Amino acid sequence: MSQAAAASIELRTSPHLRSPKTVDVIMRNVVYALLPICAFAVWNFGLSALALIVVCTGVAVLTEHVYCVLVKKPTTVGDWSVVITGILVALILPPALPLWMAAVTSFISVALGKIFFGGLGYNVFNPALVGRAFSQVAFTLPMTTWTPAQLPGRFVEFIPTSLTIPFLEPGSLQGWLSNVAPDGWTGATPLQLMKSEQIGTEASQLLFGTIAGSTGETAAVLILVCGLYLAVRKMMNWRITFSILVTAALFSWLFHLINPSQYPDPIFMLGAGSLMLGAVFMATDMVSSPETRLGVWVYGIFIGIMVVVIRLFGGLPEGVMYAILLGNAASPLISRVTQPKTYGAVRKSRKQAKEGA
Amino acid sequence: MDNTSIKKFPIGGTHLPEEKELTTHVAITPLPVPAEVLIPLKQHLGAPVEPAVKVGDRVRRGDVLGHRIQTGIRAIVHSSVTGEVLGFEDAPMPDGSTVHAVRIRPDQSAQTDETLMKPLDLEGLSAEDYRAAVIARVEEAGIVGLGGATFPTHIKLGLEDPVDTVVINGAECEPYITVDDRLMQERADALFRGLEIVRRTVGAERGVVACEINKPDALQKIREMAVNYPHIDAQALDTRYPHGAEKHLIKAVLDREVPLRALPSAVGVLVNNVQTVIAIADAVDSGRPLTHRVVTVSGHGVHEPKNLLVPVGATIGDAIEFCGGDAVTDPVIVVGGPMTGLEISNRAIPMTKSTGGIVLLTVEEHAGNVHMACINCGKCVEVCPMYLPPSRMTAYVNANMLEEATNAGLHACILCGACQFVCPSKRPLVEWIKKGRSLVSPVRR
Repeated sequence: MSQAAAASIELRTSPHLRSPKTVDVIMRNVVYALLPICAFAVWNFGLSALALIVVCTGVAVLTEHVYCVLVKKPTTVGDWSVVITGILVALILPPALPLWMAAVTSFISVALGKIFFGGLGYNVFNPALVGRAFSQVAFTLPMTTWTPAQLPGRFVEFIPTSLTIPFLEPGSLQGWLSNVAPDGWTGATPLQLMKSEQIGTEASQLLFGTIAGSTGETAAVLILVCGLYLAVRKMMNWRITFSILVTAALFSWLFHLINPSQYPDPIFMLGAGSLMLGAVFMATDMVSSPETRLGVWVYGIFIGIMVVVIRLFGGLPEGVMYAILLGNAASPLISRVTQPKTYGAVRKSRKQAKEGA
Repeated sequence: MDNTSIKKFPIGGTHLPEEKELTTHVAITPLPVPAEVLIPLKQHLGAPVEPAVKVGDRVRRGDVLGHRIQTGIRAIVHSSVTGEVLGFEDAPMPDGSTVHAVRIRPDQSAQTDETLMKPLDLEGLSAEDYRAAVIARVEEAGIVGLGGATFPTHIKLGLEDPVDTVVINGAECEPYITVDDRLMQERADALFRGLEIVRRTVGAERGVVACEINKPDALQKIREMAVNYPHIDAQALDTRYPHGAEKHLIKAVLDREVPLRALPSAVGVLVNNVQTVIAIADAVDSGRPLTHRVVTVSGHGVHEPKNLLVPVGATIGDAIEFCGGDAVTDPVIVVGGPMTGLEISNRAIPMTKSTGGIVLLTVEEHAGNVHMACINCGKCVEVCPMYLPPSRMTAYVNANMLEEATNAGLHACILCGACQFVCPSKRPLVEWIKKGRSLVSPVRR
């Protein structure tokens, strides 16, 4: 009898079926969707980009694994989420960043952005952006040093600063750049050119990404296609991406109409900088975005507006990182105020009101 | 009305693996009368009935085994076989409880003996007499809601609220189950006859038979039948879980929203299950009490999936044996559908009026019970057909914040399990919701 009772406790409650789309399957597919972007980055920036991706991903995975070993719990790297963080860190860093700084960024991302909060599911902010925000302050100059894309020797030699000895400041790139850079290279990204001198960039370069910028942020169209794969497989909430892009486009168009010489057009706004990468792969991070149907729209619109505001009126040329971090911070509040109305709830209250009257 | 429109409820829901192919083309076959049957004296929502027979009595199929109780909701229990009463004992039930039951040894040579009531002649009766006659007959026949809730049908038909539309629930949105599917294909005439009787009993102007499009043969059959019935429409529904939930069926078919804690009659609707209405037609026209029901035995864990007409009181093991037995070692046996059914290990549990399906899942396809942290993906919120936030509700329950959980909708949940099905972290959300409810009010099970 006691045996039968013990057996019945093990019986599980309904439902007895589960969707095959488990966390590891979803996360693995996000990694698949990031791989073409990594490939493009390597083609665009060469050996340094490859090394950056390998180092960041490796450090991220190692950080989480070592932590799990230290606290004696089963390793969680199998859920693939830390791989995403590692790859994303690499894609949002400048290609010329010393690898040791990239390693530190990746470590901070996972340690401070994720593990510190309690691991997957508990992080308030997108871990990769936490790391980048840290490095933006810690390594300001290297984090804003840009190198041209499509350099002829990129597959045979590193950008010299990549191989800076750990814990040393990288040397100046001026000498190297004067040899390899094309004529007219100013060391600025499209956003910096726009910010300081109101110089636009050709749309095709912005959309297809053969241009200076962070390692994996430049190819807007490719990023969108990779995001589409996830959206079609229902592994990403397209509403977030869609609402960010549409809001940013409409909002910047408004300013462009007012003063076209001062403010860029929407195509520039969408194609330049890390907006596309951020809208597709960072703002859609499930953990740090709202979970309600209405909330994701509010969140997306908020981020879209913040990106434009920071880019046009802030002190920095780029605002995607801070816009998303602000969105992450607002996310619990957004979820809270956008709780759905329960089925059958309104009728009930009306009826009660009627009965009461 | 446009006969080809496909409707669905507007928000939430999910697409499940259907697995209907295993049995949708398998005609209903009678389960041979087993050596013994164990008929529970409570097969309805309410109190058990008192036995009307004693040990050694000879009963015929259709004879009353138990009827009287002092007060409360009850449905009469009839013998499903002809044979001798061996005794009374406590029968195990799928939920782990036991129910007082009659054990009968069928007389294998005399199974054609059957006690029938006189067919009802309803022609020329006034609306009031018609209603009274049908409700009395439904009560005598021991008919309960055969969709699984087993609420006594005579009480449901006797409710005072005005009803303008009777909806027949042929959505059958649970994977694997093909009971209503086959009945719509094989017994559409009795279904429409029964619906006409119910429609006139409650004074509704319109009847609707609703069926999901993943049952094309059944849908075609009811569409053909509806042509001959001016007051009845066939309505196709998209394949989406949980269309078979009463509130969502009504939302989909009529776009009316049943208030929380209210019955469908609050919006002028009566919902009946396909098999219930067929049982009503049989009770009225043939005088046959409810002693048998159709059960789908399916799943990748059984050799020959079948749709069976089973005498109430035959065991789950009898049905599985007749379907060729286990196809895998240690299948997970679920009584009811895999989304809302109960997992059992005791095959001696008798089948009752509430047993709609027996599904043998393989261990690989079963959910398992290892879960991860919530990753806040929002999928549970997206699929919740009651527009609730399951992740938030269960977080409150687990933090023992019961008031917050209640405010978030703990008691509005219909336990359909859609949230838990889609959860990428495999969190046992339904279990936690049930736990929260039992903590809030241990009496309100």
